[in-house]
Amino acid sequence: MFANLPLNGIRVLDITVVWAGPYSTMFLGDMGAEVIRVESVNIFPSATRGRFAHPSKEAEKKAPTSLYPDRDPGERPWNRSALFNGHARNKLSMTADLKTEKGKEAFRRLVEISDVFIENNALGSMERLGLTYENVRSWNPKIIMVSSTGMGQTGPWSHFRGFGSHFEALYGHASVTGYPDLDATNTPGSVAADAAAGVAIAFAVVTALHNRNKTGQGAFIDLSQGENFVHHLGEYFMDFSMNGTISEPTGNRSPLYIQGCYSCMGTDEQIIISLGSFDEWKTLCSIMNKPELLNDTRFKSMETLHEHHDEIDDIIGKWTFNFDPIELFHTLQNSGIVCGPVMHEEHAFNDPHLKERGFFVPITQEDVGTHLYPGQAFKLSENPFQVRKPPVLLGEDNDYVYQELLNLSYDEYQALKELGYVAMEYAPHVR
Amino acid sequence: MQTKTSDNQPLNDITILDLTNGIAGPYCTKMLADYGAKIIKIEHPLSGDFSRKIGPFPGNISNQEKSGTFLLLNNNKRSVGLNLKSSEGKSIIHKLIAKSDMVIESFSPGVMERLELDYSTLSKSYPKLIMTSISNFGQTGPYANYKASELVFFGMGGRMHSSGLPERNSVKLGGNHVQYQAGNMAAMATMFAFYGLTYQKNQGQHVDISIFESQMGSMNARISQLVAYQYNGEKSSRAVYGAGGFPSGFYECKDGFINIQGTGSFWPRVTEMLGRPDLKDNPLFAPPLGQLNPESKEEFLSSIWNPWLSTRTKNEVVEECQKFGIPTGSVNNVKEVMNNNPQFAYRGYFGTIDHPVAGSFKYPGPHFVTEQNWWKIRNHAPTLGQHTNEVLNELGYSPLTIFELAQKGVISNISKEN
Repeated sequence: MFANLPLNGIRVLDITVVWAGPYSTMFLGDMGAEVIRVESVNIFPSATRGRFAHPSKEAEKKAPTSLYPDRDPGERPWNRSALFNGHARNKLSMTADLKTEKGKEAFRRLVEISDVFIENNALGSMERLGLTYENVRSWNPKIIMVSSTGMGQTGPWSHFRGFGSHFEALYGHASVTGYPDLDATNTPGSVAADAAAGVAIAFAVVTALHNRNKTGQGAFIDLSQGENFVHHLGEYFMDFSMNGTISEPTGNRSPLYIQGCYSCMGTDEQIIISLGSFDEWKTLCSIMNKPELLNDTRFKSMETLHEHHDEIDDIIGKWTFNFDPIELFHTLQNSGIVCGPVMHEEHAFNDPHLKERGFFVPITQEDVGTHLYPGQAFKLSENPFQVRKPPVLLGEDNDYVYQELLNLSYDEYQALKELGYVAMEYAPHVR
Repeated sequence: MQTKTSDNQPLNDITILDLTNGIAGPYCTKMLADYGAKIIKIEHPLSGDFSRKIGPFPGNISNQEKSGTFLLLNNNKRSVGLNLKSSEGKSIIHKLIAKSDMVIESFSPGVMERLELDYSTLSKSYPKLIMTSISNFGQTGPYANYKASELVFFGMGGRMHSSGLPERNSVKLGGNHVQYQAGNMAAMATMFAFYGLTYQKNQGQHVDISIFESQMGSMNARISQLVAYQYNGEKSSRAVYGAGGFPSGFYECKDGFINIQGTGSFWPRVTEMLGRPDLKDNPLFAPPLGQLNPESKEEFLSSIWNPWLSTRTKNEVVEECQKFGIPTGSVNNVKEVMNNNPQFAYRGYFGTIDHPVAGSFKYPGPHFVTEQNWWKIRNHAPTLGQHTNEVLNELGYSPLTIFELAQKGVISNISKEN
């Protein structure tokens, strides 16, 4: 017998898009909350249920990468995108057109019977829909509402539109990421702040629920992805604060280690080695069977290794090139050397550690069949991960929401359906 | 400095015994502390938390009370210098556990067992205890005792394989994001366990955070890439960021760089902004197929886009793009973010904290904002052992006993504050 899921009995209204918001509601759903995605068949939010509602089959075949099973968008592409299905388990989906009176009415009644409302749309979207905290609170004074955008709800940049990587440029992450010898046009894209915001939103929601239980009061949570992520860059900001240092990218280097990412045998196989002490360098020299390096006057201490980092990288890289990264990983770890393979997807799904810990779980969903998915990224001893519902189809739970939660009569529900927005397909005009 | 109370903070009824070290664990307890939790942080009596050694230091002079990483991560906590291996130390720890709702630790797996502080031992006496363990690869499995670094975590767990340029080896993200994110996740997961205990009448439980898995299940493209591989068998690969269409990715302007996504559904807005409505539906340029044509891209960049950028500053470009609703950001360095930044200054995000030894510096502010101002800095980061006497006193130890414990090296209690 497992313990009750922590958020049993909590209902969450979810108008989230792209990654940060949906990631937060994934955690809440996993933990037992009833998460209801409120979607519209007349609007296709960017980068949420795929990139287009009706993608070109031809372009999908030619594109550098594809998110669809066998590169085929299929009959209902919005239920088949890896972009969406990775976070869409344990959620419900209803469709409503919040621009219409009937849609607004349905949403208002859902607010009355919900605990949490989370949205991460561009600033102004909620105002246009009449879903400001002020309004929402008047329907349910105890509601906890979260609005999360790149830069927060107030201030001169609050209206900025962007995806994660654009905001990460604005608040400094791009300026410290990348190859030190190349200019900023070669900066790798990062959306790490989406992941950070998703987790922080879920943390904020549980914190606010606890507060509500103690005080009887709801809350409005303004989570700026930037403000949340600046902590993750804390050392750089402290160095500026203390010393005026303006940090630049250092690639894979760190003052704490002699380290790098080195090519191995095979196609685009790589291993990382991080040497934290001079003893570890000596161990590596002996494993590489290069005792002459121990007498090399260039390499006498960690300090001198740092001075000759390029030469060290060259020596290590030429050696690793002869080995399989997984075999080398175990050999070196067992000799006390910090290292790890750069795990592409094939490595991840074959990894014995993840297998033993049951990290990937098979899920069967109507429109894509059965596949392995990343499970829960943390483990609770009394609440093991459960998939109660596969990645949710658009509008899959309309019957439940309209008939059971909102108590619409059969006739009322049929009348809504005839208006076209209670459906399981995007309108044909939606791109 | 002035001490603020935790009166209106949501987590002020939670007491935590903090046995963490470094970045991930202390960031977890920082998030809980910043929203009100009471933290007693146990440090090695002489060397203290490892992050006291890693800097940055003012003037680049190493000093265990001045490490920027430590100061950032440990505001709002009380520090007790204590030798966990001594019998007296163990006795103190048990008294603290009896008064705590949670124990959060980041030792290598097996260490807590050797200290007889592992979850299965403690849960017998304290069935309502929540223990959170943060480790490299989790408490179980063949890699449980493997070592790791930030770079290894990102390489193994994260989306490093696709980060960087195709003709080069992969490159990591800046800084120590992976460890911070694991701490972030630990704070969230700990709160889930606490919520179940408090409102579902569950017992306590053990929360197992693997820094490796926190990346493997991360919504920073890693999840999507893993699922896409399941769907179509294609591995992710390194590509110039934004290579899929145009304009997309990082470009140089008059005085710096911007990052833009003007492809796909944003293409019509780009043509409007550039005053080139003729390109909007031109099949040579328009999505989906025109955008995949390398010759069209070359022509667009060289004859239209780059000339347009070269006469504008990065902030002018962003302002113009934002007027048309095109996702963009200028590439700002830490100074441009921290000093007189219009957005961060408007929101009063960075705030000054005085520290008696390290000095007065600006620090990052709230993770999220509420009108009740839940986020607070109540106290500066502690000096090593600053609160040893206070905490032992609360446990009922007499000044004489405290003096003897210090003499024996069980505790360190010389506050450097004065």
